[in-house]
Amino acid sequence: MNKMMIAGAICAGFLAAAAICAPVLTRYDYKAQNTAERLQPPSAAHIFGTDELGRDLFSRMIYGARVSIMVGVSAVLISTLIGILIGSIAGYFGRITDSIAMRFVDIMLTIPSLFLILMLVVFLGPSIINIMIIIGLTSWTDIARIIRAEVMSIKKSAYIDAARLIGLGRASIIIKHILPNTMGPVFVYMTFGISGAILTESGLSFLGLGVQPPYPSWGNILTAGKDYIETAWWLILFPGMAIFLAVFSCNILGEGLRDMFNPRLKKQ
Amino acid sequence: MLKISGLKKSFIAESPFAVSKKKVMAVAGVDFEIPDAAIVALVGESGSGKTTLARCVCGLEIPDGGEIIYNNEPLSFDTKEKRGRVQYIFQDTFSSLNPRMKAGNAVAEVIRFHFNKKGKELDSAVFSIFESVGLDALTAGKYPHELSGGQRQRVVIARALATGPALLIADEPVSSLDVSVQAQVLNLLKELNSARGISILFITHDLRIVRSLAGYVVVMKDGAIVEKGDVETVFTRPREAYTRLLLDSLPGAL
Amino acid sequence: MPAISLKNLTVDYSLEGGEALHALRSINLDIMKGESAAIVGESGCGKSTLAYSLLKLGAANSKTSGVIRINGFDIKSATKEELRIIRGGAASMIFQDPAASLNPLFSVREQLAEAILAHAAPRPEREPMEGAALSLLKAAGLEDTSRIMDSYPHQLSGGQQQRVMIAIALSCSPGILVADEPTTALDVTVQAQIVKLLVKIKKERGLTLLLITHDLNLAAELCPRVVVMYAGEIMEDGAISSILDAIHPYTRALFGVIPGINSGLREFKVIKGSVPDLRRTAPGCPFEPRCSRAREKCLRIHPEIENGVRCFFPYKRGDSV
Repeated sequence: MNKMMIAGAICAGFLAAAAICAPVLTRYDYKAQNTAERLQPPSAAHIFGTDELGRDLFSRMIYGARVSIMVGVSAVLISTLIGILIGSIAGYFGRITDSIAMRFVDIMLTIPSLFLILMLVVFLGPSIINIMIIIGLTSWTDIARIIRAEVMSIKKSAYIDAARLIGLGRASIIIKHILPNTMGPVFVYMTFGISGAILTESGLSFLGLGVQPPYPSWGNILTAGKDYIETAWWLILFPGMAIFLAVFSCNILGEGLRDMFNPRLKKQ
Repeated sequence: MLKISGLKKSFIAESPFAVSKKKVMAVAGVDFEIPDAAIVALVGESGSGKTTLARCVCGLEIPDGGEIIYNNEPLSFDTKEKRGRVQYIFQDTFSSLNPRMKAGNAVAEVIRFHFNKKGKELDSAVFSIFESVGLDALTAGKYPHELSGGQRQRVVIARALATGPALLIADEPVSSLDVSVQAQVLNLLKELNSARGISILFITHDLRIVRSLAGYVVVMKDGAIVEKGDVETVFTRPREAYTRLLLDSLPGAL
Repeated sequence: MPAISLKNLTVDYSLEGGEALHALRSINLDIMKGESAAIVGESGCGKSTLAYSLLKLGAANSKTSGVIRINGFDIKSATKEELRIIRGGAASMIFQDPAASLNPLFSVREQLAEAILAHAAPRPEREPMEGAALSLLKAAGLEDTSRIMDSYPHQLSGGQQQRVMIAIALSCSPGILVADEPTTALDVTVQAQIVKLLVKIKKERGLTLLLITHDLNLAAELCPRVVVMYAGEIMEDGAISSILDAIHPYTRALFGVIPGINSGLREFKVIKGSVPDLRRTAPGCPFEPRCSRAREKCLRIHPEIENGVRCFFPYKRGDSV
C-alpha cells in the first residue's frame, strides 16, 4: 500500500464516481444543442464551456466517462476470461496442447492489433458493444502468457500433488487450487488492461470508428475539437486531460499492485 | 500388505545448458515389502531414487516396469476408496498447503470429496482429526503462513489422515523443522502407527531418527537397494560397505 | 586483541506497521585468534544475523547498534573500500547452499580468478594465477582439478560445489573463516567429509574458525568452544563436548531431543512450547515458558550472563540432574 498506489486508486475512483453520478452532477442534457451558445469558453454557467453545437462540455465529459469506464472494464473482463481459459489449459496440460495454444497466440501476435481492430470495426459496424467485444477479443495474448507461466510454476507445488492425491479431477484442480493463486498477476494485468482499452477506445472514437455522435466519448469530443484548436482550447484540453488522468491513474495503480504482489525478500 | 517387485522408473533429464537430453534411471529394479502396521524407513542420499520410488507407490508417477501389489491385487487408484488408501506427507511444509486455503478447509475438502459430509457433520469430523494430530480448533481458521513449521506439518498429516489411509508415505517430513519440534511430529507418527495400525513408509537421510522410529530399513543408492532388513540387524551388523559408510558419517561416530 | 569482538551488538529488523523484530539483543562475544568456536541455535535464534553482521552483510531494513571489530578494526564505520579489503582478506565466509552461492554463468576458473584478483595487487600473471587456483582446489580436497576448473557449477555435485566455495574463501588467505551451516544442504556422507576438511584447513593454516550450525552434536564434537543462542541472545558460552558439560537448561534440553544413534525404539523427547516471538519486549528470561527449572524470578527479571551462562538456576557442570 504505497503512496503511488493510493494516489492512483483515489484518482481512478474519483473518475468512476463522477461517471456513476453523472445525472446528479449536471443539469444539462448532453444532447441539448443550443446554437446561440456555440463555442463558449468556460464560465459560471458552463464550467467546461460549450462545444460547436452549443452542448455543455462538462455534461458530455461526464457521460463520456461512463463510456470509457464501461468499455475499459468490459473489454478487460472479456480478454481476461479468454486469457485465463487458454493460458491455464496450455500451462496445465503442456506438451502438444501447449504447443497448439502457443502457436495460436503467435498467430494472433503477428497480426498488428490496430489493423485487426480497425478491420473488425469496419466489418461489424461501430457501436459501444462491438468495440467492447472487439478490443476484448484482440488483447488477450499477454494475459494468456502470464497465466500459462504461473500455472506451469504452481503446478510443481506440493499442494497440487496433494490435490491429485485426494483424487480431484484436473478441472477441479485448475479451478479450485491453481487459478486462485494466480490472481495477483491477473489483477495487475487488469489494471493496465483498463488503461490500454480506454486509450484504444478514445483512439477509435477520435477516428470516427468508435462511439457515434450524439453519444459522447472523450475521443469523439476531440474529433470536433481538433477543428477549433486555436479558438476553443477547452474542447481539446478537457478531454485530453481526462484521458491522460484516467490512463495515468490506472497505470500507477497497476504498478503499485505489481510491487505489492512481488515476492519480497525473505528476512534472514 | 504392499509388495514391490522389479520396479523401474526413468526420466529424461534436461539441463538448461546442455545440448543433449540424458535418460536417467531413477529407480532401477527394486524389490521390497511393507508389512501391515509397520514402519519402514527408506534411507538414501540425494539421487538414490527414494523419492521417485515413493511417488510411484502413491500414484504420483507411473512406473515404467515392475509391479506393486496391494493386498494381493495390483495397486490402482480408480475409485475414491482405493485412492484414499495411500496418502503422502511432503517434505516442504510451506508448499504442501494451498496458501489461500485455511487449514480447516484443506482438511474439509478431503472429507467432503470422499465421504460427502456437509455442514455440522463435516465440521465435527474436521475438528476431530485436528484433535487427533494435536491441533486445537483455533488452528483450523488460520492460513498456512500464520502457522509455525511444526503446526503446518501436522495440518499436512491431518489432511493425509482424512481419507482413512492404511499406508502413509512420509517424505522427509521433519527435515525442515527445528530439532526441538521434530520430536512432536515423529511421536505423532509413531502413535498413528501403534494406535491405529497405519503403516508408514518413512523416507529420510537421517539415520539417527531411524533407529528410534522404524522396525525395518531399506537402504538405496543410485536407484537400487543396497541393503534391507530389520533395523536392529542392519544397524548393529551392516553387511554392505555403503551402509557402514552412512552409519560412520553421523556426528556421533566422527 | 581478539580476532572477532562484539560488544552490545543489537540488530533490529523494521517490519511493516512500524514494529521491530529484535533479531539480536546486546550480544557480547570475543573470539581469539586461532580459536575454533561454534554458534548453535534453532531457527530464529539470530545466529545467521550475527554471522552476516560480522562482514556488514545485513539486510537493507536492519538497524545495527553496538561495536563490531575484526582484528581490532571497527566494521560499522568502515568505508566501502576498507570493507572490500576485509571481506576475503581478513575474514571469509562460506554459505549454506553452495549452488546458490556460485554464479551459474561462470566457470570455476573464472570465479576463482575473480576472487584472487579482488585482493591481488599488482595483477598477477596468467600462469601463476592458474597455479594458485589449482593449488586452492587441491587444498579444498578436490582431485581432477583441471577438469573442475573448466566446469560450470551445475556440472558439479553438491560436495564439489561446496569445496569450490571453500577454495574461493581461502583464495585471499584470510585469518578468519566463518562457515554458515556449511553442511546442511549436503548429503550425509558428504557432510562428514566437508566437516573433516574444515578442521584440517583450520589446523594447517592456523585459522580462526567460527562455525554456525543448528546441529549441537556436530558443534560439540568439532569445536572446543560452543556458544548457544536462543531468541537473539547468548544463553551459554563455554567448553561443551557433551550434555554433562552444559549448564543452561536450554542446552541440556537441546542435547536431550537429539535422537541417539545408539538408542532403541523409544519415544522422541520434546521441548514443550515454541520459540518466542522476536517482537516481544516482555521482561524475564526468554526461555522461561519452556524451562523445566523456571521459577517466579525467571518471569520477572531478565538474567544477565554470569560465568558463561544466562540463567538464575543453571545446572552444575558434571551433574546429571
